[in-house]
Amino acid sequence: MGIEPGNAVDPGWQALARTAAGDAAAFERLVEQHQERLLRLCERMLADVEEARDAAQEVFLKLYRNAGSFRPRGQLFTLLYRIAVNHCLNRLRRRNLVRFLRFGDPGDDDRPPFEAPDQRPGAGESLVARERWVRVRRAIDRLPGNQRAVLILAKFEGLSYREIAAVLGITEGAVESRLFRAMRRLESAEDTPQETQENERPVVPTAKRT
Amino acid sequence: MKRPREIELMRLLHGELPPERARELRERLACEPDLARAYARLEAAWGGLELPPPAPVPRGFARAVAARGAEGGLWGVAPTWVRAGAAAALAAGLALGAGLGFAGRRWSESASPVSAPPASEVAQVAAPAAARAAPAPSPAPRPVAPVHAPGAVPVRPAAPLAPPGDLDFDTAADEGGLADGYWQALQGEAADSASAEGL
Repeated sequence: MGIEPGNAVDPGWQALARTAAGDAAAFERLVEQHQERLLRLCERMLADVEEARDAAQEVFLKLYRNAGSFRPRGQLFTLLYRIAVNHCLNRLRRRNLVRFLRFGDPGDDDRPPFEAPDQRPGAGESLVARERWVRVRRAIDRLPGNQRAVLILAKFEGLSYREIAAVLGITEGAVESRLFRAMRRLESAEDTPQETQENERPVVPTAKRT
Repeated sequence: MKRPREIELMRLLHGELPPERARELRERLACEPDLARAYARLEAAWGGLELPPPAPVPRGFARAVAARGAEGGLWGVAPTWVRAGAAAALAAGLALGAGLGFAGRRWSESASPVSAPPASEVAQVAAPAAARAAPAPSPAPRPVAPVHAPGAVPVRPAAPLAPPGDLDFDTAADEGGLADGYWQALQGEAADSASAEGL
């Protein structure tokens, strides 16, 4: 599932070059090729299907607008992931700012914590699984943006540390450190009683265990 | 648990350790129950991170995105730096226009002839000058035309004369016509008294 970074030029770059030259069909094929992964990543990052669709569309449009200015390097998907992660982090920041300006509890939200669509395989079959998804989703939502991005890229996108470092533009050591901190937070959240979890603010760091 | 050890376990779990180091660590896991427990806990936490399968891709998504990109025309495909440059140029143009307008207005004010003073000032300046210019023995007050600066507001005709004692100086200062009349009245009174005394 992961990206294979390297010097080999991805054919996607050629499609992007044709897009820059005004070939709309090439761009449409490019979107078709990458839409599934990008939508999935945005959905994992934002925890909202509709917002994820908007975000993915904006990411593709950013790629379209700047098609002529990217330098072909490695896999095109690294670039797409990078744009998508940054875009989602910006959206999360805006969301937190809006909540802050509304004087709301950052843990509160107007929409339900997590609603699995009915058409998904397995949804509704197991209440236990559904509860676990909600719990995991809440725990991930409480992570800071940079840790959330690393965790999602590693766990749900199956990228290696090297690939994550290439996507985020950081070192492998930084990836390792963020992933470690994220796992500690998640473990702390697992150990915390459920009632406390629901009342605590996500911005407050959980106590580190020794 | 110490951080380096936990990080190493995490790297082992994610398959990020070099094969040699991974083999050594697995041997230690077999011998050290504490380490094995820590690894099992980490493995369970990692494995427990599950989310439902993602929503299916909406039908026609790629076509809609491509259409939205194409409908923007040249502006739609303009890179961000071009858009930012255009916005900056617009803002700079507006600022320059406003600055030039303001400077031009100030320049025109400073370059124009002496601005017209208020009518009261004109009257106050004009009346003594007229008094000095008028012949002293003249028995009757003559209307004196105030000196106007070019473009100055003309002083309205003098109000009907009133005895000087009845004049309100404050009002006279505010109203040029009254001041003018006052000076004219003074002038006439002086002439009358001079003639009465046979001077």
